[in-house]
Amino acid sequence: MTDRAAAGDSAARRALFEQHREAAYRTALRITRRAEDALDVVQDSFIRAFDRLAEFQRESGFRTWLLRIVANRALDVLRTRKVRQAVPLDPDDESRGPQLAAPDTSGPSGQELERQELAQRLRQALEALPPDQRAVFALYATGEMTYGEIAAALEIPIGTVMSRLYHARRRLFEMLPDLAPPGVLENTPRPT
Amino acid sequence: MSRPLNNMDDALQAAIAGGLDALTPDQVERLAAVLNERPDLAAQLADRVPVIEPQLADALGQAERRSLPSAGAWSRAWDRIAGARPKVARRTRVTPQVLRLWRPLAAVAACLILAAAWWLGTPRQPTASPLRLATDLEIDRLEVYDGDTPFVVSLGDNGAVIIWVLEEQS
Repeated sequence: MTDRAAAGDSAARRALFEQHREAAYRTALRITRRAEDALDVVQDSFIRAFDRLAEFQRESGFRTWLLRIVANRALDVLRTRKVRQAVPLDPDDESRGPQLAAPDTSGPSGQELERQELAQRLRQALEALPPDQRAVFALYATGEMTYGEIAAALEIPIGTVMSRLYHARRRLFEMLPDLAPPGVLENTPRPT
Repeated sequence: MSRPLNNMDDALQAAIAGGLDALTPDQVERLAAVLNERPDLAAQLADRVPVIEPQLADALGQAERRSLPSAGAWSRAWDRIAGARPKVARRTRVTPQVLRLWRPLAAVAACLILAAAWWLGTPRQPTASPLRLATDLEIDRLEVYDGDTPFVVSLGDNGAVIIWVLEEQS
């Protein structure tokens, strides 16, 4: 399909877009923390990807290659964002614009309310991560990228990926102990 | 110079096995330093997908689910992506034409610049104008009106020629 897309086949390109848009969006959202920025990042990343499809090296899959573009574009957005304090990603926030899905208002159950509360706390915890840790975490959270692919995407060494991921997870679990696997928070820094 | 591994072998094996959380922050920093200095060891970790717990993945999915664009937003996004492609195609088509024109345009511009520089740098011949610079003159008469305006007048072969007029500022 990537060959057809590289040749300019519109249907193949649209198929690639529909197949990978959500992963791209989630990655962009985890880094930028703004829905409107995330959608812009996705659009820009697909445009860039299609423009450079002929350069695509098939050592990794198209998704990994795309997510690399997404991550770098999202980091660019972060760097150029004038106001560093991101708008909280509140589903009811009017500033997200009409293009976003309307929140589900069909009377959530108690369990659903708990999940929504946890989701809100997780959004806040992600917001609190330093951008470099957040970028590593965003690619890690795809659940399909290797250490090497994350390192290549962010152009940092593998050891740094490992370190940032470790600290990002610890920070998240410190803020969300109910999500922490057993024993994760037991390790405390050794006195030097 | 590589750092000594000490207990880093165990730490690396834990990381490879997905047990990164079992390490202390100090161990992680030491392991990261070792991996960044030793590509051969980093290669052992490179093709590993770091483990994400199902409960964390579920919570992330829940947190992001309601922020996902609607079908209409995706459709508009695709329209913008598809609409951007002709611009790229036009740019790649036009660019060689611009490049082809660039050399002759640059050559013409260079010729014009050289001609202008030559023209400006060449001493101009006196024009056939009634106003000439007198190079051989003698002061014949000095006329003063009310002490304000002196006239320097020369009498040459062709008769009287006024060569300069000065207005005094009183």
